[in-house]
Amino acid sequence: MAMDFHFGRRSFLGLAAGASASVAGAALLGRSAPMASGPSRVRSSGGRLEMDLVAAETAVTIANAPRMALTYNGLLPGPLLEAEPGDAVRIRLHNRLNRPTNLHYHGLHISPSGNADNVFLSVAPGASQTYDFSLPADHPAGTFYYHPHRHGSVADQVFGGLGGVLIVRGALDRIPEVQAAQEQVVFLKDLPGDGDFGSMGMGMMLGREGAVLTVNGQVNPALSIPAGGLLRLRIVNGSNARFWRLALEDHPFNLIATDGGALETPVQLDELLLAPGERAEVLVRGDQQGGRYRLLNLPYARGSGGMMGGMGRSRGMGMGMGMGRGMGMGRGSAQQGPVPVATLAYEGSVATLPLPERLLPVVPLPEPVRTRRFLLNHGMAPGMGMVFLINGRAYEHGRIDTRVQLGDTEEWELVNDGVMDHPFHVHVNPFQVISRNGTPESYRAWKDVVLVRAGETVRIRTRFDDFTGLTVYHCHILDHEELGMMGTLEIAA
Amino acid sequence: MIGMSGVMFNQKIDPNRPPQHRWSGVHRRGLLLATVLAVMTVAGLGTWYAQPTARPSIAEQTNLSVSEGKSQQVTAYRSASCGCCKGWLDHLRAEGFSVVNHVVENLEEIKVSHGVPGDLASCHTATLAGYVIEGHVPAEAIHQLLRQRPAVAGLAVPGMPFGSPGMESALRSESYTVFSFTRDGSFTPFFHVKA
Repeated sequence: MAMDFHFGRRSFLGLAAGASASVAGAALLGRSAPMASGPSRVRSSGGRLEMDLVAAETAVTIANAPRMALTYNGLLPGPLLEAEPGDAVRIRLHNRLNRPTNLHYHGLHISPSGNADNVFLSVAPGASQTYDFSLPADHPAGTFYYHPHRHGSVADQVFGGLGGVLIVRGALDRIPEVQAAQEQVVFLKDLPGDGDFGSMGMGMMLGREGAVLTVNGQVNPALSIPAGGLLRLRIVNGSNARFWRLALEDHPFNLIATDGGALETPVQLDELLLAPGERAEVLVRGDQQGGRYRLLNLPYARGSGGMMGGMGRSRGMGMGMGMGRGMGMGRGSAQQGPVPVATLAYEGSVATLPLPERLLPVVPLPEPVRTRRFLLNHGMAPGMGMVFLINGRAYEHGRIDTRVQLGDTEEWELVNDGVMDHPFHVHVNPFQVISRNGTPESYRAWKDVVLVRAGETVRIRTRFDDFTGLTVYHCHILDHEELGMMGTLEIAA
Repeated sequence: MIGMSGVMFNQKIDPNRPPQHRWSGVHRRGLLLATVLAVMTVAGLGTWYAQPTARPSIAEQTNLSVSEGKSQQVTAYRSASCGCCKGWLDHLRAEGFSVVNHVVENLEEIKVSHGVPGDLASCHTATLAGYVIEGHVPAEAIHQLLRQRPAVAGLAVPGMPFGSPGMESALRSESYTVFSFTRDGSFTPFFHVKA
């Protein structure tokens, strides 16, 4: 589909001074043939990252079939952005959608105000917005995520395809074993199938899941690993509501980073659960005898224990929500079991690389000056009907729900007394998980999304550093956010 | 109120539709969903409960005989504090049905015994004129069922779509499909409601 991109072309020509654009991003993302209206990878250079992002409904090719999706610059996922601590970032967002949108720089520790990570900005259809911010010089390295955050259209726009990866390169990338690893972005997104999604019980109430499971905008793409080498996967869950529970055949994951950056030491995992908005970086060792290995998405019931078995069925139906052929698919037994989402093949070989023994310090936060409680649930509210609630209140624009003091450390007790899982996300400042149901977390890590399972109480600790202003916390099942499960946080000087 | 369309799906014309037997069968796992949905509606509701706003009945709007509805008794089964179930029953009362309301703990067993396909499960189950009505089925679809009297076991709206009767929300409404299902557990679209 031809795209009106005259302003973008001019901007991209102008990029050369401020950033280098590379089609090599296609390789990093594993794209075979991007239907690009611009480079699929933009790296900062000379301390600047400057570019245009056009949000539009465009034609894409998924599983060799054309379809429409919401994209940035015609790409799904959007272009891969790469920056370094201290960089100045300028992104001109152009809204070619029929509803308002904006941008959230999920996980970045930057100002929530002005033209930075300000989720209260609204970019009308046809309008543009320039985002301007600088990454702090001590910003952690990690895998971050940009996506729309305009309340009222965020869930539909993310479900429709919008989102992309933003990498900050820093100390973690300079650890020799990590540096030697082959790098691969894994952007997880389920897209709506044809037809009438939601009709089979997987509506907004449970959170919409798409029938088509994609990795980097492809169905079951090929990934490669050199024999003897390390493969570093930067994994982002860019879904509206789907939880991805990943396992790689015969290869454990060695977790080296969570949402907010590096762990202190790698943690070996047989599988990795990522709720919407969560990220992880893992190292995979190429220690098998060649061959092909499936990256599997395992079933996950987004609720409490065996009682939620029906959710598994519902997930299955979610796979084929279309009225036509899709529905038959959804009944396949495969949807109750593992689904291959990518295939890893051995290609070439390198001298055997060890795993890093130590990564980076994760400094514990001091004792909190205050503890707050956030109760997550849903219910019928007077005059509102069915809504999702935090502390009994549905989101209301302009109402400040939580006031905190810049520099304070607080502990937040997140209580889910409902029957659905809720991944809780806080903007601007990362947090550390202290305990789940009273059990101390087994290792320290920086997070910005934490899964609070049905019936679970999770304690997190955070410090409000560097930036004042208004921002939000919310359930990252974006349907639940739209339906009220969000609060406004004021960080006061 | 939400716009309702008449029959949008024709049971015979979609060449892509798989044979019904591929969808058939009662799935216990699916029925667990019903339990979940029932609990979902209970959890955290307390005494909060939004009364649906008064509005002209569908029977009035569509010039149906109200007495047609009045002659029908709905026997409903729901869990104790399911707010959206009560909302659906209020909707039926407003449409002229008489309602016998059973609060039960064994909702899943009731669904099994009434032959509700697991994939169509919702938070409440009812019977009416020899048919089973599962979930937030709008009165207009029930009127159509009673007019046409098809050879089906009943109607169902799976899940809890926003904007369906009893699931009204100031924030959203969703398109949804009312399915008819048969005794062997197969089902097919019967009525479509646009958001």
